Amino acid sequence: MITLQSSDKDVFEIEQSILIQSGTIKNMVEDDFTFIPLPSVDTETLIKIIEYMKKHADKTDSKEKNIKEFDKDFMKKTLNELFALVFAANYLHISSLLELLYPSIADRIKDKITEAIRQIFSIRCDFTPEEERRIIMDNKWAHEGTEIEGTLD
Amino acid sequence: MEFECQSGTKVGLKDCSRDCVDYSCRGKADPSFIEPSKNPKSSKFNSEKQNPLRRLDGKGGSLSLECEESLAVNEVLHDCRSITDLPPALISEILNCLEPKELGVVSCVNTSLYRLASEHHVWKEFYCERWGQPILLAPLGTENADEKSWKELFVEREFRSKTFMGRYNIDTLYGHTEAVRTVSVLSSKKLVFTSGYDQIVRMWNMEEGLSIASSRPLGCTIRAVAADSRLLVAGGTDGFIHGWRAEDGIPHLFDLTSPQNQNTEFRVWEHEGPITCLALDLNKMYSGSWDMTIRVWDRSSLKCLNVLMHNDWVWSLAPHDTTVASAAGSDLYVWDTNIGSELAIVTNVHAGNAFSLARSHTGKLLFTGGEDGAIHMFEIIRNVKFHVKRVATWIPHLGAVYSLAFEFPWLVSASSDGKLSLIDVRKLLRTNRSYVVEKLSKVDNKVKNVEPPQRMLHGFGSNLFAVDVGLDRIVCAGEEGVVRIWNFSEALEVEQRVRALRGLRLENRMRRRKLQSEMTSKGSRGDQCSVAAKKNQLNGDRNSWRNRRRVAGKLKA
Repeated sequence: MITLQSSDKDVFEIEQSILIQSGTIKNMVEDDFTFIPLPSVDTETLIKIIEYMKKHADKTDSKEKNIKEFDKDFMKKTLNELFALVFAANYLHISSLLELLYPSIADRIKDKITEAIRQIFSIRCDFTPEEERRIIMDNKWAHEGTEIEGTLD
Repeated sequence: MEFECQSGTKVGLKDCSRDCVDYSCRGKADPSFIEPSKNPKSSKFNSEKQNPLRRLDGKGGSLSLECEESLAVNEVLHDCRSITDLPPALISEILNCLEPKELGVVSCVNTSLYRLASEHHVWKEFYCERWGQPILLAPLGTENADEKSWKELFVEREFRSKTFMGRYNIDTLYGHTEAVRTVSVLSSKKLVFTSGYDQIVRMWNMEEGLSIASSRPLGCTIRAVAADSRLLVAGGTDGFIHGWRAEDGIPHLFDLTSPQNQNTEFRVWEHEGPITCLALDLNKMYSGSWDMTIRVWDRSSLKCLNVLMHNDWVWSLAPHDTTVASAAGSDLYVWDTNIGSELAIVTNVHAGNAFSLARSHTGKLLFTGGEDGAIHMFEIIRNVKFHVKRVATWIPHLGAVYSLAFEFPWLVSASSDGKLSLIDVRKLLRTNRSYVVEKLSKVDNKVKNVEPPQRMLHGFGSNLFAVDVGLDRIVCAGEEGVVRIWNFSEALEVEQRVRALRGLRLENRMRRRKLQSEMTSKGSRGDQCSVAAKKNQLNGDRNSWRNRRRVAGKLKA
């Protein structure tokens, strides 16, 4: 059993076999650590990650469909949660989770116009007006498509 | 509790660091303000009575909100809450999942995303999977060619892909004395190779529309020609493959005219029937014949590596990587060339023979044209099982489709009805792949989803036997023995000129109207002023101004 400590000082005891899906933890376990503090992962994210790893630890064929269903539901989170997961999964080196997260986040960007993307991700436009005009002209071809798609949907 | 709204604050989440507090304030000031706390350890926030989505995290005091909220507050500790805070490598990975248009939209969002999106390596992949390596046409200044980023190349090429809807010139090339059966374009060298019943292989300059050279008669009708920058091959009724190797020093790569040269020419005899199709690869050469086989050759040793047996006459083939697709009889085959085994077969693709085949640069899309005048599009899917799925159908012709050529996104077909059809497949690919598959499973696989072609080119005689595409041009030839080059390279410039002229004419018209209305309203203005002047000078002016506007409005409408 390995003990993980989140940034909020909450501790979790998990079996080693589940945790080795994380490259980082695996390395530390090989160096005989049993207590692993994770200062960059908060409790809620850590709970989700443990949930993910538990589900994926048991990879028998019969469970593959369940795992796929789980993954789909797992990705139905708010953007903030997804970002937190990406950070954590990156730090913990869980490549399978990352492979899931990238397309999920990309899906939120797809088929959106620039302003929508800015609002959803809380990004402020920091172009000067001339720059903005120039960039929009350069990328006019990209905007044609999205407008059409918007109406078709 | 104070409510501070600083609209000038940077949403600069890029600036987030451990001790700084950032918040952004949108126009709608939400009454549930958040007190900015300089002390990261503070946990006093008055947001409980508000939206339950806001949540307090223990001592960290970090707040997470649905981004659609009008007020987004980021108490920054170690987790920042926006995509721009992710390390560039991760953002890159996310952008990797996007299509070109979406990537273009993302690059308009802010400077850091602009930089990431524009320099992303995926533009190179987008370009290469559609068109292969870019041909660096003799640049005016060599520095320019190198400095163009992949994104610019891609956008430019996408833009140019509209040329086939524009205006064209036709170059007619005379030379062949009998029907031409095969055309092959070598874009990188701007050459066209044609041959047919007169048994002579002719080489033409594509840009100038002039004949460069012609070979001696090869002994039989030539039905297939293929060329790349190192090798030119031709095959015909007698079943041999005649080839010329490129030599440095020869102005147009291949020396067709000189008498039989042992070093650069060769002839391979192995097929037992007429050769109908030829193709070249990096290391291999492929030939298909009415003896129902396709032979895979090693280019340098000219040894036959594999023989692929079909059930019927082979009409056309298209190699890609380790596979080769072929149309034989009315069936479509896909083979593995290393093992020599059949990967997939689709029977009765057409009513009658499947005369022609084309393949996309990625190898995933296959197009077949048949005796029934129909064209089908297939997609190769390599999941657990390798299979070929029909994606779309067109029936643009009244006669057999003898030849197909594909250069993203245009599919060009030549038919016995003397016409060329131009089909833009981009619309079919735009939808998400899974969406297309779902749609198909519901629709009956018959003729229900037939699409019309984007354009038809016609007007010249009958029976077009061969077509090829390159350099914004379409080259076709057939029974007449005449080779036609449809030159669309000026289409975009012409379109711009036409539009500019139209704009100028419109401007002039507007200016004339404005002058006219000013002159007429000046007259009425005088009247108004004299009447109203006694009462209120200002009113009078206002009235006249309104009058003028009304008049102008009528004219404009």
